[in-house]
Amino acid sequence: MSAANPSTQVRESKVAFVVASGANVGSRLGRGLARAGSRVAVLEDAPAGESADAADGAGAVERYPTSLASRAEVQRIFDAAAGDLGSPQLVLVSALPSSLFVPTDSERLTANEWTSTVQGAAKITLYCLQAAHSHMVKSGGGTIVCVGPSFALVGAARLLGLSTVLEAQRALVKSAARQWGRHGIRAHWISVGVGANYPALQEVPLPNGPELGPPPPPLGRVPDFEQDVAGIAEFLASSAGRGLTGCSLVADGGDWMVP
Amino acid sequence: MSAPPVSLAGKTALITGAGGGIGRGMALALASAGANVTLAVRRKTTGDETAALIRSEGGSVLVVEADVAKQVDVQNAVDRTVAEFSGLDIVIHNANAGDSAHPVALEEVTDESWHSQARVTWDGALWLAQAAFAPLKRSSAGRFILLGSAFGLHGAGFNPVYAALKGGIKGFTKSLAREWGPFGITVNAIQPAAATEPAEVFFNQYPEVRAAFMRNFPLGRMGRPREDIGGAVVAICSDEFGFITAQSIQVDGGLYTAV
Repeated sequence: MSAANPSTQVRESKVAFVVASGANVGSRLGRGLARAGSRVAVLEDAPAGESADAADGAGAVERYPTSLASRAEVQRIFDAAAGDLGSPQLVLVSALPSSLFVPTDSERLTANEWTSTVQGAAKITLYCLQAAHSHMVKSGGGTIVCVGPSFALVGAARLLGLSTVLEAQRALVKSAARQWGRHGIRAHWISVGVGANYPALQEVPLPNGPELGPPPPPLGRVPDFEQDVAGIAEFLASSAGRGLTGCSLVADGGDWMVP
Repeated sequence: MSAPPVSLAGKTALITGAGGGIGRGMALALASAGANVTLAVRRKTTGDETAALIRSEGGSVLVVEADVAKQVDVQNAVDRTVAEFSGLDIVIHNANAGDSAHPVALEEVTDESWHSQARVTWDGALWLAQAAFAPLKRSSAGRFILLGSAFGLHGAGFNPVYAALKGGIKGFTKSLAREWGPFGITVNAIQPAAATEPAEVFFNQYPEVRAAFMRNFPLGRMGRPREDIGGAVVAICSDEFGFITAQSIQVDGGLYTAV
């Protein structure tokens, strides 16, 4: 009988893809995963130069610029990265266009903003799930983790589109978990406290939490992408996380303790 | 001594997709509680059938042909309602795409199948919110109700697009409730489990699913569109429900209890 130490189970070398849009989210997640020993491909639609620090301090990060604009493009960039690094055991999706983070009165949302930005963001998640599935179903499984800001759990005025997309993303992930579990594919959603993680939301009057008084949260700080969120994803993708799928995890330091 | 029945006399409601099923049930329940009712329907013949039932019971009803995916149609339905009944107090987005009950593998979802459902569920919700905002502000007790689904909470193994869009409706509900709260408008979603025609189609196709599904209801049955689902909606529209907003309310005989 072998009883492996759980702490060593988490540290398993793997190929991880990070799909990201917006400034440096992919870089931070990629660095965190690379530090833990993964070979990482960051598939990112950030403007050229914005993610130039993706490889800082982590030689195992490769960057793949992409538009994420269609299923074919997402599949193409997944195939390219898999051709270089191998099929992913972990796919981390944090692909939310920056325009979604601009507070707007709902009655002022234009038809174009709604159909292209909001529905477009939801479809990027769909495309990423489908591309991840295409590789994982052939390689015997893997873990998909979608990431978004934690306020989606409670809603926020003037962020109707972002709230809608995030809750859709969460339901989509659960459906993936239900349909693909038999292939060894697990899927999760992590909501991350805003703090410094989402600079565009720092000036937005988001609901703080159910407790009286101002922040910080019970842990005294908001978890960040590189130090904390990457580690949670790494755990979920490890053999230690093999009994979990379809989870919604709240990485906000304890602000929102969901029922 | 029994409590007096809830009265919505003097109030006006607009319901999308009221040509049958839950929509028809809600329309009948609202009309029998005294509300004027506008039926926004894609096919006028089905709306006329519902209207005839309402008129036969002495209710006041207007039928407006509208494709909820078209902003101009939704605006027209709201404008005609306000012109006919001198205001609008209750708006219910019930319309659903016809293919939402069809099983589909997540990896096979196409842009077309996404859009065919999203244009009704999401676009219709936004167009309705935008068109109704001004008259609901003028109402002393505005109610905006969206039809969600338990599949939006727990994901779906049979139709992940439906689950994702209904999950998105949950986010839409919470954010719009926060945005509209200062205007005295409540925004809630209901998650019904009702014996409707599409449900019957599905269960006839999968009789083994019906048998297993019914065992999950503490009350032992699915809901009746008028009495159970419509009754709950009448309650939400009453003055007694005025302090409840931003909620996703299960109207399902106890089917889903995980929240």
